Amino acid sequence: MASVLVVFPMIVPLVAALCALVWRAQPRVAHGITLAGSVVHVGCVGVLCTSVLTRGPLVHQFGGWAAPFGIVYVADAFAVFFLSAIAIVSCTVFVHAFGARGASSWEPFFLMIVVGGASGAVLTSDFFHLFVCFEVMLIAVYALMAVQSVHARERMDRTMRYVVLNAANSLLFLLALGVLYGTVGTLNMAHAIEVGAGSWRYVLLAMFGVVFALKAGLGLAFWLPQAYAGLSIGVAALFAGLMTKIGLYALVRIGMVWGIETSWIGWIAVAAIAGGVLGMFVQRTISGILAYQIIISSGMLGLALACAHDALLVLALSDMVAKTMLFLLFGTVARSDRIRAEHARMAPMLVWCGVLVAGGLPPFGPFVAKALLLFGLVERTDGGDVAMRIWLIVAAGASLAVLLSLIRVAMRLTWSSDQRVHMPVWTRLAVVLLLVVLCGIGLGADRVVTYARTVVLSDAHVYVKTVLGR
Amino acid sequence: MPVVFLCAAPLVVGLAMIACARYRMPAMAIAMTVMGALVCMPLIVPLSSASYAWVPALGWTLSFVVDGLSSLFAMLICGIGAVVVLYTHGYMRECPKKMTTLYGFILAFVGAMLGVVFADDAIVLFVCWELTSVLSFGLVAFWNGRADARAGAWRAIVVTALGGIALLVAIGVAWMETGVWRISEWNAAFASGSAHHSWLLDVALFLAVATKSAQLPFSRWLPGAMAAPTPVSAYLHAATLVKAGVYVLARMGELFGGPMMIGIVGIGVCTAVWGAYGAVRQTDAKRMLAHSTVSQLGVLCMLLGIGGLAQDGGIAAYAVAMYHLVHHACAKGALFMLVGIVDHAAQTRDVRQLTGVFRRMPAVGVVATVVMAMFVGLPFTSGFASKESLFLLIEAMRTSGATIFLGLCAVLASVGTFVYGVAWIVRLWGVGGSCAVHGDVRAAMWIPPLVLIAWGVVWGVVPQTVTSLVIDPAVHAIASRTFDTSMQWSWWHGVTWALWMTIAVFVLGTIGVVGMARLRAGLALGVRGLRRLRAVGVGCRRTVRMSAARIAYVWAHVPAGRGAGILWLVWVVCVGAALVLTVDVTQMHMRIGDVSVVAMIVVAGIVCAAVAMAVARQRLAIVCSLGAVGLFVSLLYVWLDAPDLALTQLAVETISIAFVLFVLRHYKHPPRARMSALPVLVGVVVTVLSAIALIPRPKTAIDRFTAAQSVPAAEGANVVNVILVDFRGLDTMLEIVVIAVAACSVVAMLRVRAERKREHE
Repeated sequence: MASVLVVFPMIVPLVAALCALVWRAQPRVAHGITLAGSVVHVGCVGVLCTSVLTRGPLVHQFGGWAAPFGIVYVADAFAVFFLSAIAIVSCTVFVHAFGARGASSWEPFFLMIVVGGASGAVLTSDFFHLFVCFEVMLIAVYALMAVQSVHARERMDRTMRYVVLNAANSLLFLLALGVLYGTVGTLNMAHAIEVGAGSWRYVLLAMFGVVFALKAGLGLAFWLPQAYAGLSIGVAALFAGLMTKIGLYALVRIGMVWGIETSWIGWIAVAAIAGGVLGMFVQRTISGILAYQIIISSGMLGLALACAHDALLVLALSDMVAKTMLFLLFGTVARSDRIRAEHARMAPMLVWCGVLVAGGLPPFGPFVAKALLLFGLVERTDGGDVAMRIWLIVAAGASLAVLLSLIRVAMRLTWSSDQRVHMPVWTRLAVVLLLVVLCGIGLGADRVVTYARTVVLSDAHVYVKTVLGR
Repeated sequence: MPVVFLCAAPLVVGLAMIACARYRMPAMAIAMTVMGALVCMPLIVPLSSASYAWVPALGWTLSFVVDGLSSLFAMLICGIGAVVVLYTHGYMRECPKKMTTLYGFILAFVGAMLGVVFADDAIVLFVCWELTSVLSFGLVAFWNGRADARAGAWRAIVVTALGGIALLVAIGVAWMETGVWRISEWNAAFASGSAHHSWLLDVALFLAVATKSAQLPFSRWLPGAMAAPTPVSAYLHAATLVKAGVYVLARMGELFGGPMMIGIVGIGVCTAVWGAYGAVRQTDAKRMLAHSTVSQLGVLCMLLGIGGLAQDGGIAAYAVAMYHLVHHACAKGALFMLVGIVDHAAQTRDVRQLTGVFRRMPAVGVVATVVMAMFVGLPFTSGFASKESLFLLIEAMRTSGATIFLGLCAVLASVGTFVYGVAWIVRLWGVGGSCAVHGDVRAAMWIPPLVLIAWGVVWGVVPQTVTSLVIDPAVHAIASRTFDTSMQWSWWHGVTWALWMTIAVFVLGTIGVVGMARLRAGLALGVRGLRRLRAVGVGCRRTVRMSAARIAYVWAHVPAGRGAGILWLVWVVCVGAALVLTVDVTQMHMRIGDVSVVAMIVVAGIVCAAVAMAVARQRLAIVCSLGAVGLFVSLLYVWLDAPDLALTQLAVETISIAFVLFVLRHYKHPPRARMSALPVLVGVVVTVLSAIALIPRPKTAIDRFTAAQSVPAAEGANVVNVILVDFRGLDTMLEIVVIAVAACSVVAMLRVRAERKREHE
């Protein structure tokens, strides 16, 4: 019955959310409940992680219905890796939210639902259930956006745009599911691998690819820069860490099922990176710069997906943590309407540590990820492949641009001003926790890389064997 | 272990001091203790190469190499570092608050720089390399309240970060070629030909070298970095940090292909001339010294390049390079410190206002004159030896157009050095001038430059001993072979080309000093031309920036409808192309005969309603047609024997239409524009897709399983219901969650709005 362990990462946040809803009248209690819930979530993921590491992947069949007939949750190394990133990121966001004064008492409830949906999406082995988990996540996101923009017309417009676009995307997702069931005759990922798509492979790849590319902000990222503007710090931080990466996770899974078109993904990623860098350089606000950095990191992950698999995991992990950290760190300034960024002064030590670590100063987590990606690309240039050289140069240039723009932001915030911005203790704690994680990834690079290498993405048969047992 | 300690101890202590800068502590004592320990430790415990595990999964190790080259650099770093720590105490006495931070940065830098020179594993080298960049950035911005410090720091970090990422790429390429991370093994592999040179490696590695060592076209950050406190300029931006590029060039010389080496020689020599030109133009003493550093770094790169190209292993060139390196580090460090003293006393660094300052502080003046004599290479100084060796080296090369160009450039650079050096001294000893001198010169400030120029004296007394102790091991390490002795030194070589070149330098230099004013005016003309060019560049950049900002704005502010339109368009293009290109579309066979008349009528109704919706302009009409489509679909369900689905569809349609109509009341936009082709296209693709994918489908394993197991295993007669609540019960549960959350969000919005209203009242 150890397989029941797999269910907890999805159930615990939902239960915590329910409790938070019940105790909504006392915001402090509600925040405490969600914080406790997310700590339990981290614990569950940790136990799951060790279990998967020592005894191999776990599969849970809901209702006892075996794989292609019912819904199964699969905790393989890849899912658990992502899950731990989700757990870490969400836990620190709840640490921040616990200390946020005047926060809406609805916020913890909706945030917890997002975490639950994300965990389910990572664990499931069923395409339709993936859709459902996305819907769970999205409805909570819509709710968060809408509640926070009730009183601001401009923000409501942004929310509407996000809702319309994602509703259209959900429709496309449903269409893809219909075609999948019609042509392959299954909704289960492992079964789909086993059956094969025949001549439908490219159609299915295109249908799912467009859906997930929009979610991952890979190429179709025009919704992203405005979406996060105006959200509260915690919400923006969680979205920054989670939303696009879940889309990317789904992209990896369809890549696992139907194979990856390396050059397509690579060129789209390069275009995304180039666009992101260009957009980042013309931004004048911190939140704008950070939003474009998310687009760039989506592109980098796309490149990693195309040609450097062991970089992909480390990059995803360190990127989720780093982006959340940056949003928490700069949120105080980026959010406040009264203080123009040029005139704010923040805790300089924390800002510089955060910026340098997130920007890829060796030997910390983001550096290891960056180095793995660049070395992975370099390895592919061996045969004199010109495309790979271009990708390599673009990736190197983008990581340079990200570092420099972060330094620029830190310069503005710590050097040229007199007005101090107060950063709440809990937010500081959250930032420090995330920094510790990033340093840990760097200093414990050996374990992280070893673990990342055990994740076999290219060999789909391992997955089939795990899920279907044959 | 000692090597690791040597690198880590100052780094850790320094970072700790930066972190605890707000507390009072005897910063000077700590720093002196650490530096003393660093200087003494190698005398007590012999250093040796060492290697420790770090990331075995990737093959990264903490490995260090101790050979002649790294020892030479370490000697410079520790020796000058100790002197600078003392000097800082005198320099910063007025500002004790920031002293701890400054010492912290300097100590951390010592550790990082020692790491760079001792590292054998390329990743360790990179880690320390980036650390030195960041620390240099922090030091340039030490007075970060000043605009020039911020600008200088920004320029420095832009250039050095570019070099950093280039170094990472170069390391990657070298690793790919050789399969190891050890720099020592790289050299062997590239020298033996088992690894291949590539333009990527050449360019990336050269970028790293050129940015750090301020070669053209990356030399502009170094003068900007002069906003740093003077001890920092003396230490980082004259003696050590800027030599890191030279170090890499010496250490990884084999990694450059032949053509790139020629390029390095060319760029080095151009940098030398360009730096000298800049120094002659400058009036700010520190910036002048910075330009002169650029020039000397160019000479160093040129020398190492010549060594790399030489057929005989390049021992002579390497020896001159190492000799020049030590000479320059000491002389330039001392000069910076003297400028700092003058700056402190006279409160200005502008040479035009400093006329005659040495008459008021003669002791400083005499020392400065001696150092400058050493620096410009007057006879019987270490500088003369260095310059003469360079000329001899060029003379010994095969005569060709390139060699003549090289010789000319070397002479030109030396003339420049002579002109600015001598003119500066002459000016400061000059008659007249009204500059006042405040305070006395502290011991902590005048001892350090004296210690540094002692190098020249030591060399003058025992040249051969110093060469064999310090220079030869380094040359040995670079050329990776043994030899007897690198440099036989004598003051007189007979009447050779080198002699004529030296004479030319002195003659032209003297003319230059005499005609300094006119020379400056002439050079200013060239500068004006450059300014005009730069203005054009700035204009271009602004245009690009503005248009990029415009594009980014439009792109990020796509309205909701158009955003969905883009999504649909991308979808139609991708899916349509995949469908047409990879799937056999002709297999679409709807057999009309199988479909009953009733169904045909219903389908016709759907089509009519859809067309009506497409052509309608009034919103009410659109909504009504939409409702009609839904009703016809539920009729279709009835025909397909699914009454429960039909009822559900009916309920959904009724509620949603009612809801839309309710919302429409508040909707004040004008009727919509004419329909575009996109929805039609989407409709076609979806129709074709469903026609091929859904209609001619045989029963799958899952269909059969659910139908067979519904009653016996799940105990439910209605298969659809069993799927919903049992086979896929989890989906249903989460969909209920979705609905619950949606309901909660409505409540939340209403509550928040009510609260807002109450607050306003």
